[in-house]
Amino acid sequence: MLALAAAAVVRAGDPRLDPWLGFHRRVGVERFFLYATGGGAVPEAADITAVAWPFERPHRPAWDHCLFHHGAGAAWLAFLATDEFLFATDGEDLRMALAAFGRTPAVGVGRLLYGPQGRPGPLLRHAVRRASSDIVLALPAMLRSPGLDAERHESYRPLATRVAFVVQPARTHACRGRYDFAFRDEELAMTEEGRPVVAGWSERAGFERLRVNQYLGGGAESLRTRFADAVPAHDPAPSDDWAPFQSEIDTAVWPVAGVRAAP
Amino acid sequence: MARHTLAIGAIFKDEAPYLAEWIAFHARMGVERFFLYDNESRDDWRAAIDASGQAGRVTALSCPGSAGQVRAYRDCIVRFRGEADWIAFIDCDEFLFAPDGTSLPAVLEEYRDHPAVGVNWVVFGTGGHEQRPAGLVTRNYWRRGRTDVVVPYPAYLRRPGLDPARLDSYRPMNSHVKSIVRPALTLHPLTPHHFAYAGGARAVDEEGRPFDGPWSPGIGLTRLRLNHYWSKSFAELAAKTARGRAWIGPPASLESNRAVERLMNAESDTTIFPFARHLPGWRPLFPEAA
Repeated sequence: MLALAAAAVVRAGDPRLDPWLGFHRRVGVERFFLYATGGGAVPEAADITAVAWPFERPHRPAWDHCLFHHGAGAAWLAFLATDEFLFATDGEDLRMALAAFGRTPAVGVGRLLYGPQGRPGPLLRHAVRRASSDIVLALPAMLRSPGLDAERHESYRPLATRVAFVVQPARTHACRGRYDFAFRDEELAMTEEGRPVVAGWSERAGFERLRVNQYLGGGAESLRTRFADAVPAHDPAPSDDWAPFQSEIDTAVWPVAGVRAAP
Repeated sequence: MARHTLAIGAIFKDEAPYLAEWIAFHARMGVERFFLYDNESRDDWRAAIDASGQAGRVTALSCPGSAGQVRAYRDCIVRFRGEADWIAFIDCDEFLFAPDGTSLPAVLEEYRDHPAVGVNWVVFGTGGHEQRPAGLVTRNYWRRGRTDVVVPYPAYLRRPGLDPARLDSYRPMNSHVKSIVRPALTLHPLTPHHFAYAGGARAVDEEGRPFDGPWSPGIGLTRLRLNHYWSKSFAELAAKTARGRAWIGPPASLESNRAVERLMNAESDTTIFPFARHLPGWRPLFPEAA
């Protein structure tokens, strides 16, 4: 039985994949289930199970496939993207850290979003600026509920509260969407503070114990492109200005990743 | 006495509850010597120093009277000029470290051609603690103000005559520095934050940019940083307010300090956790894993 595995939908040739794999090996992930879109090859390694995955909307079927075929072999399974880096804030091995959450079927981990790194080189070393933890995007899909005043900041859910899931497969029923799961006995996932996660969102983001750093803007990605999945075509798209995603200096991942500052 | 690469010069008053953690943390970060000036404390600070496990590294001196900070720093420069390559002048609610875990002496080696490095701080709020919680400061407080937070202190005005009602008239709070100086090249302190250097030499920020005064040209937190636990709990903020402040203008009221404190909980910041988690008394994040 694996203590902790991770699943991701990947594209062949994604330059973030190697550092993503290396980082998560370091923090305790024992096996990776990579669902490869686009037909190319993914890295081969003893701890990687690669699955060709030719779906146009790949995440939900991939997560269900992973739960069904590999879930029985892992105590915990993290569902991530290759721009998402999961860690314990004190650098604890995640396998040890997750023992603190054994009573809940899944932990919903808040995310802090980093803007483009601004200069070439290792991602985790150079991407040191992130958005504030209460940043919102004024998109209809981000409204807390329909009908709220679209002009008010408070009407929107902070992006940080859309959680990443680390589930106990034995207590997980199925995937309900890229960012949502159903659990057996109608249980709910919980945040690190013990707050329920509903439909993939938490009421408040924590970050005292666990967090996900999400690195946006890789390559030529624009803000508009990144959040296209949240924006119906007829809705106004957000500005392409990444500046709000670079307001905070935050190097908390460095000692966890073994990164040295650039001299 | 042996020569040391890095020492800390500090003055304290009634800070026994925090001294052991503060000394032990900095010893782990590579500080070899502590020159500590007692300003008429009435608590058992000697026991706190003993509890740090680093008493052999501490030289304790007395600095009675008001406005003692600059006097203590001046004495420290003169008295210990030959005993350390670098002296960091910080307070006992400030924790200095390199965010990538490099030892402080190794980082300072990169700045050996300069008389001083100005280190930016980030300022932490109460995190909602009404009373002093049990345990370590570095564990209990992990909410801070935004990187570019502005506090309308008169001393933070960019220059006289600017409109005090406009936030952009003020320097960002975190561009304020504390100084790590090379005492051999340092004349004397000008404020608790900055010093005069021999031959008109200038301090640099962490990126090597020279600057004058107690504010750096920008805010850098990647080579060196100072976690400033400014308020701690509300009760401790009230006590601190009652003591008055050392130099930055007239004493603040508790009401105005509470207004400032509200700005100091905007962001999570656990950057210090991996370095502090090995200190005695650390409350584990994941008790089941301990």
